[in-house]
Amino acid sequence: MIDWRIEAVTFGGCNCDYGCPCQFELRPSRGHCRGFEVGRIERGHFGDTPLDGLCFSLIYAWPGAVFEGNGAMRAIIDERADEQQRKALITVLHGGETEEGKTHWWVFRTMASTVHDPIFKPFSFEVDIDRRTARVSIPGVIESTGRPIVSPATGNEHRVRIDIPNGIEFDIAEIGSATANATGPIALDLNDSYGQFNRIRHTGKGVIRSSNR
Amino acid sequence: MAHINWYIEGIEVTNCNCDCACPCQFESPRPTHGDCRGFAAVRIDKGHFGHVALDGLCAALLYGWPGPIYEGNGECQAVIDERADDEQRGALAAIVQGEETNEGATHWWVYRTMSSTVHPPLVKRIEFDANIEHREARIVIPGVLESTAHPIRSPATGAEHRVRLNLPNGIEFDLAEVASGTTKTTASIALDLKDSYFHFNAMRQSGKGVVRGSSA
Repeated sequence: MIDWRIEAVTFGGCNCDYGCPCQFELRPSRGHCRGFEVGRIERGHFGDTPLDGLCFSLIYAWPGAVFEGNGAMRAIIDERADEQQRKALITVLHGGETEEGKTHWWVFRTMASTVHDPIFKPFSFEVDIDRRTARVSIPGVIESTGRPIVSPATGNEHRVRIDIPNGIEFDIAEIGSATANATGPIALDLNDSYGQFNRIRHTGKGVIRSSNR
Repeated sequence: MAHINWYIEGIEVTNCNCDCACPCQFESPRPTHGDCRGFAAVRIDKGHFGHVALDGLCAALLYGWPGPIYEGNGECQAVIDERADDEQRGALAAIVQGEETNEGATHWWVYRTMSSTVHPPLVKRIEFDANIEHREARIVIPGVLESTAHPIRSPATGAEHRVRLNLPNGIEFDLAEVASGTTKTTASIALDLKDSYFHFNAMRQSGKGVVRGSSA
């Protein structure tokens, strides 16, 4: 297995309620799952190929719960990536060079029966995990914003984090509200549904646990 | 107005009728089934209410709302540990009924404020057995309530699933372990919960809210 490591800041969302049931091993809020993830690599390598500063996105859909399979996915790669970097990112986003079940990308790929060809695009991606804000623009593919949850009772911003000590996607994620519109083979029309802001620290052997929360 | 100084620390458990991803914790507009029914119970390892010591005592609050809690019109009933003396009984009832508490500072205060019916407290034996680390619990209030909790199990892998909720500004807890609970009651507030949202948390509260860090 090629040695690789990706540390990235990510923002994503799906069509579930703010307490995404998947995180609790339940069925999706509306019976099916559609969503996306966008990340910017702060530090990363794949073998001797550096990946620092590159962006990536995955758009996905399943007819039921993710674990029931039969899904579709599409990777979008930062057009600034050179040939080797493109291959590297496609490999890990498609669950390659990864031990069984060790990253959420591996699960997504394994549960997808349709893998659309990756595309290469310019990314505009701003994210602030602590403030729970994000803005994504991949022209012609996806436009999205993230904001804090607002309490219907008090009108105040609400801060809640999901903490999964053995998680294959994150240790801890800030939860917010995501709105997204995607066109193409996997279309999305999300309006203030589950939004997730977190760091990922993935290798082919799984998530690197941090002691620094 | 200055409140009586009080502080409790120990273990709290709660079980409600929502799915294991309780929407309240995310300020979602509606509970899973539209209404909210459940209970919370606490075992105080160390606590006081004014000059009254509360160490080692238990208390519970049964509750129900026709919609989300914040829409009000609910009911609640406190259950007080029969081992408590008169002063302790008054103190425990005050705390779990949201008295001597700053506005909105504890979940007890919110529950009480959102209840239009407050049933008279019951005084009962409370058997409180909870293991946060293993996410296993058994709470028995003879003649009133029986509750058990187990870890969530993944339908995909069959393995135990560990997930925690962290509410850095929460009024009930800072960090809670989420589990799956089953509860039946034969009290004024009827509960028949099956494998629904259950959580365990280390509780540290005063009349000003959750005590964080080392500022107890």
